[in-house]
Amino acid sequence: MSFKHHLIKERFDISVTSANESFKGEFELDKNANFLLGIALTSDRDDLLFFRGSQKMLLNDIELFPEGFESKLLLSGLNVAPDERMITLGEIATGNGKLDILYKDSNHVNAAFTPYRVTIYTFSIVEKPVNS
Amino acid sequence: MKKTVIHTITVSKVGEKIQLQIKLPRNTKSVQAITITTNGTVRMPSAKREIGWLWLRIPEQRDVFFAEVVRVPLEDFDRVTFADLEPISFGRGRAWIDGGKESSFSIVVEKCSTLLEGYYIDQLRSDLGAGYTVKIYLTIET
Repeated sequence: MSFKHHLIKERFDISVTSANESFKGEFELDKNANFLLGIALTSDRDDLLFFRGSQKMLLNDIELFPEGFESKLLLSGLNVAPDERMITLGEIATGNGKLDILYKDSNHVNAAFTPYRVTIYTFSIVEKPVNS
Repeated sequence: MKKTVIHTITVSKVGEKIQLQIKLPRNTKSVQAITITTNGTVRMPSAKREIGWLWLRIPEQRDVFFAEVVRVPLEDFDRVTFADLEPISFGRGRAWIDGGKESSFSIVVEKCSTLLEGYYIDQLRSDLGAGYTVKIYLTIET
């Protein structure tokens, strides 16, 4: 397989430093990442991300997930095979991709606040593979 | 093109019955998937997880097309398992170990109008505290 069909994996972090607030992240995708295949969401405190998190996500101003979309719907447990943890989005053309994320932390009775990190992984390709 | 529409129901009274209307974009062709989540909690998930009933219908075209018993997530919080692998404070780990990837309920509701109706009945029937919310995620084709 040539480089053009390799997955480009990128990682972006948002630090959540205070409770009940929104945190904005603006990230540029790799210039060779022409088609976004999917994303994955993790954290150093999965419990806080699961119970407290929601986010709005835009790619070049195209809405991928609307405001209030809960992070728990994008998380995968250990029971999910690593190869299947990506949330697929189709093959979205990115151009010079800019990923905007508005992450919101909200109080939850099952998870008291402590500062944590939200990590977003993106999976892109340079070119769509040609079926031979 | 697929989009997600989120409608939030806020429950603040015990046994509350809530009528709801969900506005969809004008160019909606069909509803393709539905996910229901809640941030409600129960004291003993092993005994009772059910916290409400939800119905959705299309006014004037057809009646109820979706009905769901809303349950608190992660039913196995009370069971001990694989203690060494559990993240801190995340219940007792069962949900983390056994939890799969979230998937929506697949459905095809064609020719739906730009308005969905429904109602929700709280079944928690105990102290709600500050209340809870139920979120309805509709994946629509436009």
